[in-house]
Amino acid sequence: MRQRIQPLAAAFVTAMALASLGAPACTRYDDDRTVSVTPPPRATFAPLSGVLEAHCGTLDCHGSPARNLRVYGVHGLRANGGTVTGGADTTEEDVDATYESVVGVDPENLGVVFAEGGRDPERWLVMRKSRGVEHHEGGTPLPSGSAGDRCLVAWLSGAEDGGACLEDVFGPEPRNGDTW
Amino acid sequence: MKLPIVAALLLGLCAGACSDPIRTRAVDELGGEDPATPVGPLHRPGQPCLVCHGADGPAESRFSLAGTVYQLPDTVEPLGDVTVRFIDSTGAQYRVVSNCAGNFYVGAANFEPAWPVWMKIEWKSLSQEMISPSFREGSCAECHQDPATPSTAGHLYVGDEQTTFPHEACE
Repeated sequence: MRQRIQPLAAAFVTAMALASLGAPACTRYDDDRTVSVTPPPRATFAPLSGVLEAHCGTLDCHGSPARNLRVYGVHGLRANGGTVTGGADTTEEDVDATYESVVGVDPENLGVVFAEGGRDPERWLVMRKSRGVEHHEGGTPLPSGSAGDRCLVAWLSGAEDGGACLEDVFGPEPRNGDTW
Repeated sequence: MKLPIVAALLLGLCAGACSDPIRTRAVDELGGEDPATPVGPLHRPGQPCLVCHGADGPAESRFSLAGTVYQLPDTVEPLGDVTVRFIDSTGAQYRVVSNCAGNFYVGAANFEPAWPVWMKIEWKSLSQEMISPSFREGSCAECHQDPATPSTAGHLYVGDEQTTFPHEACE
């Protein structure tokens, strides 16, 4: 036997459904805690910045003003309005801007990892993305154990010599017998 | 409610959900065709080709990489017969040659690169190689827009003020 839904009941159900959809959209973030974190220092960042520029900082990836994590430098976005992409070499101003952007991503976990000497670095979002552990539209730019990855870990652990940053080589690799 | 009406409503909802408003807007922003140039290999030089010729675009032909090459950095005179070389992250290589409008394109069926892709353009004894690869963008013009700014690289070019280029009609 078919039951007929009364118009009033139908209106009530519809109103409740709409209200439940609207509730999350209207939720406010009331947590006004202030968290102090100490990121790895700018002084040791320059070698890592070079690695990030090459692997992440082109205009079609993080070298774009459309990204939350922005990497500045000659390959992409420039920090100074008077400098163009692909023009002059990366400047200290570019490195400063990249540093500010990098330490602004998941800062609480970055601070904890740094405070613990780089232990378990995948707690930091950037590390998970660069290793491809967490979904990343750009794939796995710095595979675990690669020179670039070790460079990033060295910075997180407070190393002052740049670690493996200078070992990182990134460029076209022709197949055997081919030239480029 | 009658079944056909429900079906029509569902179909309408699906059609709305399946269109990509960002893509549609990008296509609209390219504007209309130049009436002096027929739709084909010579049309729309300097525009981001894969907006239409990419996987989700409205054009019939599919490209994986495409762009336009010019003679000089400060002018927009196109240059034909430029060899455009690509090498992807697996070492696979491909090359195409620009037409008289400066346009070049790689059919997606011919070469689908494993990103990132490094590129180089060569004309006679001149050569220009990108200092960085493309990680995902197949339309050169998405990054190589004019003018060059802190977030755009300016158009592709081969020569400098010392270079002598041919002046040939392009039809």
